Amino acid sequence: MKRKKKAKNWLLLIGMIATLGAWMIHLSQDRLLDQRVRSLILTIQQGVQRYHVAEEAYPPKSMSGIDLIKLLQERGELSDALANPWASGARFSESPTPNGIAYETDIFAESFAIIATDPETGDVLYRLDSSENPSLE
Amino acid sequence: MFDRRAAFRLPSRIKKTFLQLYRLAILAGIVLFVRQHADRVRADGDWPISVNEVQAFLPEATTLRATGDQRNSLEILDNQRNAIGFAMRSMPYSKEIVGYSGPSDVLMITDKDERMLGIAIRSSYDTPSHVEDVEIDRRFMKRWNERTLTEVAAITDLSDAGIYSVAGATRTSEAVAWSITERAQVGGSAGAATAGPKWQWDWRDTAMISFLLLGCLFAFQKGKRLQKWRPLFSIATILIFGLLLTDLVAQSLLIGWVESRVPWYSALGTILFVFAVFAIPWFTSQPVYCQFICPHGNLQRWLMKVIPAKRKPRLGEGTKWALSFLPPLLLMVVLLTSFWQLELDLASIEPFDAYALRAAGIGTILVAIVGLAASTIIPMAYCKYGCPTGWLLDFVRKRSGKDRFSLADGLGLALLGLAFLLSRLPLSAFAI
Ligand code: SF4
Repeated sequence: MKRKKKAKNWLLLIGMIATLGAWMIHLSQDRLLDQRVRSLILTIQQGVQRYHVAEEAYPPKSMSGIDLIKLLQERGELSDALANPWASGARFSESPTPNGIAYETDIFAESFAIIATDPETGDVLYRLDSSENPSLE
Repeated sequence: MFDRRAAFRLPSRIKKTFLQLYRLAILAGIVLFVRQHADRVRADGDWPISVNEVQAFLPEATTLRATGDQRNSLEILDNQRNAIGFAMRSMPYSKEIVGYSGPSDVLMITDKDERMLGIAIRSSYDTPSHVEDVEIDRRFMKRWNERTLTEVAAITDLSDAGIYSVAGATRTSEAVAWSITERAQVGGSAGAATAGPKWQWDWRDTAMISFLLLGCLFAFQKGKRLQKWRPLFSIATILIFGLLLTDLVAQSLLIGWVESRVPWYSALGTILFVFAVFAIPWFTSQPVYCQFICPHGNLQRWLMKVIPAKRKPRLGEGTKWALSFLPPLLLMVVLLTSFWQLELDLASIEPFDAYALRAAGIGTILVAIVGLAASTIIPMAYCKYGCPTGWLLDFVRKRSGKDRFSLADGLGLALLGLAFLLSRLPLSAFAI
């Protein structure tokens, strides 16, 4: 009986450790995802800038992240191996839509915005653009 | 008969002093490691500087160490651990300095007299081809060498200073140049020359210190005539200290101070209060804050009277033992959150922010309600089995009577060990 009670207390302690541990792991995964999203935006932005150098304008119409990435990859301005942070690192070209990245520009394609949103909630995570938010820091 | 164990036993007064110092050292060690890490993160920002980058300028560099000084730079050490220079990056200070299409992050390396040894563009949001043009322009890149940070910080006209923009990448090179001067100004004497901050003291500071003094009075003066006012004081702590001042001692406050700077000038009253809240129990063994001042503790003291003791269920010793681990486990959560820079509002793991009513988040309100509800059944439930701040205050408290190495002392050591291990990991391990 006493031993059973002891086991119950240990179980309670292990349960608390496991719950808090799982919570921490969950939060650290969020942090990792956050880092991957930021580095994805930066890579795409470099592709967009290369496009701008070649064409004297940004990609001409607003589009989804997948379409933008495909466009830049076809032109050789982005590498093929770009991973989708929301799809366990699967390549963007193989990712299902909708994804968390959107591209916007004005009618003259003189400005750009790359917007990362949470694919589940639609909340804007990051916005990198040529006017108000030129960096992610 | 000769008692060998007794011969090696320390006199209890020495043992007690030793244990008191041990606890203080544990707390100081944790503070130090958290602070070191925060300095490192501040100096490195989102993209930490690596030793490899520095070795391009100082091949003998082996280690980078956050100095925690006003400049927010990293000290460069050689394999003998001698300081041989400083490294710093321009971002995020230069994030508003945009070239053609974005700011650039410039690495700046100086010798130990703060004389520039070289610069490098680490990353850039600017047009890649322009950035490349700047990088390969050796004249522009080398122009900075031999100047001190103070001289660089004083530059107001680039051409007067002999720095000419790169043909074909004028705006990018100018943005890089201004990023360097901007970074050189951080923590330099130019900033110190401006009027220093003013000390501030308002009615809130006076009120906090008054609560502290009254708490001490109730703790140390046991006369009946005074103690009969204690219920009134208890209600005042809830209504005035809790709901009006809302400056409860909490992990979010403590870790914020440790990670960044203690706001000496703007919150002197709160600082003195918090210092006393730790120092008084350490010196005197009286838990003045937990026993007399903390509104949440006092609220629980009132609530535990709601249900008569006879009708309350009793927790088994084993359950109490297991639950008593929760506060130190929450302190581990606090450490991990600080080191990992996790998206967790530390205010939400404690009930204290709930006293700020309108500003309170859902997490803190829940913790407050559950803790208070539990205290109607289990006396002082939250204090005993949920409060990381209370655990820390009790950890440093001088024990009355004999003292010995306890489970709490072991757990304190485990917290210090965790902080030490986390502080030794490279920033990349935290995805920073
Ligand atoms: S243990 Fe926590 S809640 Fe209880 S009195 Fe101390 S600080 Fe307040």
